Amino acid sequence: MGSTLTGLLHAPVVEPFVGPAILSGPAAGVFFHEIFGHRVEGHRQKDETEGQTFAKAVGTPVLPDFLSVVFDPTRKRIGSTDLNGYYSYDDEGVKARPITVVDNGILKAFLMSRSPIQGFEHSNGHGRRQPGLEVVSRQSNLIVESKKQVSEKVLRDMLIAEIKRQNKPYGLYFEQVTGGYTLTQRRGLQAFTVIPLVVYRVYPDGRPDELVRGVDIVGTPLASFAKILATSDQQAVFNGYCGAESGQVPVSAVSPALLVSEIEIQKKEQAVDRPPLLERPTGQ
Amino acid sequence: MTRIRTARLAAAAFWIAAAGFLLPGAGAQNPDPMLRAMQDELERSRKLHIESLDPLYFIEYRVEDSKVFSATANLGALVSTDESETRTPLVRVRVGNYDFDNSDHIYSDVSGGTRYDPNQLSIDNNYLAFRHVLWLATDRTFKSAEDAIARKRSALKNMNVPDRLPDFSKAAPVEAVLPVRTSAVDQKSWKDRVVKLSAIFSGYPQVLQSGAEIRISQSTNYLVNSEGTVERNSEDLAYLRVEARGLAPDGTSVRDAAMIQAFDAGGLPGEAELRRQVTELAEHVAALAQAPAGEAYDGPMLFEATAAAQLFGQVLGDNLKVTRKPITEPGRTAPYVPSELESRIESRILPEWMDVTDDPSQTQFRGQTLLGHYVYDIEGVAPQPLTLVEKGLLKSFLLTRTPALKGFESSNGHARMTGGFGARAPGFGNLFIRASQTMPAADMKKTLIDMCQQRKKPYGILVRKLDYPSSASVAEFRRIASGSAQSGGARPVVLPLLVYKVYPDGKEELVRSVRFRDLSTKSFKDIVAASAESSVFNFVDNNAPFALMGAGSYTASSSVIAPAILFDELELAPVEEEVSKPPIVPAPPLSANSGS
Repeated sequence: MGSTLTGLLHAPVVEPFVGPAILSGPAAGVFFHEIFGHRVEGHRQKDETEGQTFAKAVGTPVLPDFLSVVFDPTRKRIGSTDLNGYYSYDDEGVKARPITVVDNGILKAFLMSRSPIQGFEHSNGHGRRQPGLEVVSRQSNLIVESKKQVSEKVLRDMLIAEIKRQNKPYGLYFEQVTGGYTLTQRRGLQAFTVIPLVVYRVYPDGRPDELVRGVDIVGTPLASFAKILATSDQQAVFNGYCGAESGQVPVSAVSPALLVSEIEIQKKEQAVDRPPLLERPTGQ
Repeated sequence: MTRIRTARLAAAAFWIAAAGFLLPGAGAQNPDPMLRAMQDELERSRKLHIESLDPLYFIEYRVEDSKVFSATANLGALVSTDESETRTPLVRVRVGNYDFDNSDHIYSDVSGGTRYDPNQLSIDNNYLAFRHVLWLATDRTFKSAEDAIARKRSALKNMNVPDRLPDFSKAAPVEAVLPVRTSAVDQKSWKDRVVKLSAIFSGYPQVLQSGAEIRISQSTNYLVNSEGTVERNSEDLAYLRVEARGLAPDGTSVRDAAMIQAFDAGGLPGEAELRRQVTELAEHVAALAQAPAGEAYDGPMLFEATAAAQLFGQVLGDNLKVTRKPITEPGRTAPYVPSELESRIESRILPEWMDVTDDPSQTQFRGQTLLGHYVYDIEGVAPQPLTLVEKGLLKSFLLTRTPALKGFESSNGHARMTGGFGARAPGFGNLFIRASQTMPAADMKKTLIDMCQQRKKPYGILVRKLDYPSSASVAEFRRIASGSAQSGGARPVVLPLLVYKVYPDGKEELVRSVRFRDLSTKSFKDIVAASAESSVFNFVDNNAPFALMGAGSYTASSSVIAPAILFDELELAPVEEEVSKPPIVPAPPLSANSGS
């Protein structure tokens, strides 16, 4: 961690860019959590102020047909990693169960609390809240399953081929992310941001990857799904806390790394503090 | 200042010669790692400067090391316990000079940029870790100070300020490194005691909500400034706080609260006395729940000594704390309420037979401990006995190192809490209210009855207790404050909690739900009698309005010593509040043998 930080201190700041990229498993998990997960929370489908991206999409394709998404609060761990979104009963006392929300690209269900919506009249164990707040439907362990899996090595080769095909000077590899956020309401833009910590420029000419800083991933949900080309064969976990109407709840997002044909990055908000005037004290 | 600095350098030079090698600053000798880190980092920070901006002229480091144990209980059951140990740094930097600096502007306390220094120092004694935090805090504070002085200068270009006061007064440096005291707290026995005391309320079905809390804090304060002050002292406080609320049949809420405090847990009253006081409080709430609502009243009013002390503490005490009006920017109002007494110096504010002094050097009054005793204030200034009112005439104010009024430009050692706009907030220590014309306390009630009969009033009013320090909720406080603003009163006054109608035959009848109307410092001229006996009222003052219990970010234990007083004329008005319906289902059984 210390050496990554030292690396970041000296890393160049990237300019806004559109091009191919690989999102590591955890980064892809956060990407799905923001652009997809929040949009299948049941109560959003009946609130007229919400964007209702998928309200009328049950039974239709919403993701590439090689992808399925399951929310499974009963999974305690994957490999040796504990999952943050594990629970036995939700906060309305409804037993937890796995819910296949997307099956081979087709939307099948929403995440439900006991507040019914048209066509989904019962809870499926996703009524959650932070103590002291009112329950709404929330995510648990989001698990992305893929039928178009290649090894990490092949995925990287595919990225380089894509960089060349698009005639771009470089592509990006998002290794670590800290989180993200999305707006689901109509009054806002239907957009999302994923906040990366460790990002590399990947060059097609064999130069080593270069650590860069100062970027956020930005995009709109529907446009982003179509650009997923393939996934790796290694699932990875992002454990975090998700904040929404009913407060902070522990969640996980599990996904293989994703190759996307196009991702947009924007400059990060940054402070312009002057470094300390005196040297750090060393004592005697 | 020049002279002092020369003396420091001489001392350092001597030490360097003796040791044969160079260490930074005179503080290197200090065996206390905290003081040593503070002194060393302060010495190094003298070098801070930014080309062409105002020079740094004053640095102050204050560290408050606090160990707190607390336990709360409700109806005979422990609700929570907490034990914490923290060290909080408070860093002040002034740029410019004593006459004009970065303080006294609405942005004086605002820190721009990212904050990298944590607001806690390690509780392990780690000299380098201390310095690292102080280094970053000083850097941030210095940059913010340069920002504030520039904003202030620019704001002043657009306004006319005749007779501008200097921004900071000089004070003699103090060197007082006192031993650190700590004593073990018997947590188990205090938990048991607070549980037992909270159980007293089980016997009072009229009490809907109640609680008891014990809080024992042991603090060590460190202070180092660039004028040469080096101070370390211990400051302990233990208190038991008890609150109870109920509802009158019409749904009006009634409440009473008490804080019983001492410098250390050993100084708190014994269990029998605590039980007596908690029982009394429960009786008050039960009686208030059944008492009739009070009516509007205009006539003589008697305050027993405790209520009188509370009244002087809140109304007179608060107005003796003068603070400086901050410079603001065009179109922005500053959050500032002036003292009612600001322009009343040498005017009569009390009867000519009354005097008010503040004397923090006193430790006892007729055998009772005075909690307002302190040796140095938080700016390191030693308070002297201070005459505030002499023969009824206002003579002085409670002052800090920030000049607040023309003619009162240096500190008299009353900086007791953190304040706003780069200043410390004033507070009193032991506020003595003395009367030279008195009558025995026993005759006061008779005088009240006589006055009422002369004026053909069916009854007079006796006040036994005020809500000070206040147990009001924030919503209640807002209602009181806005009510007082609407009725034209200058500053809000706390509610009376125990108010009695006194009939000509001497019979007393408790009433509830009344407030004072138009009570301000101007009312004190109408005091017509005082008792020969005085009471000590010890309490924990803080920088929240009404010294709201548990609110405020800083506390100062204080005392008011006052006789009972009789006013010729004061007004009461009914409190109007939105009432809620009492609980629909009666309370579950509360005695131990009826549960399962």
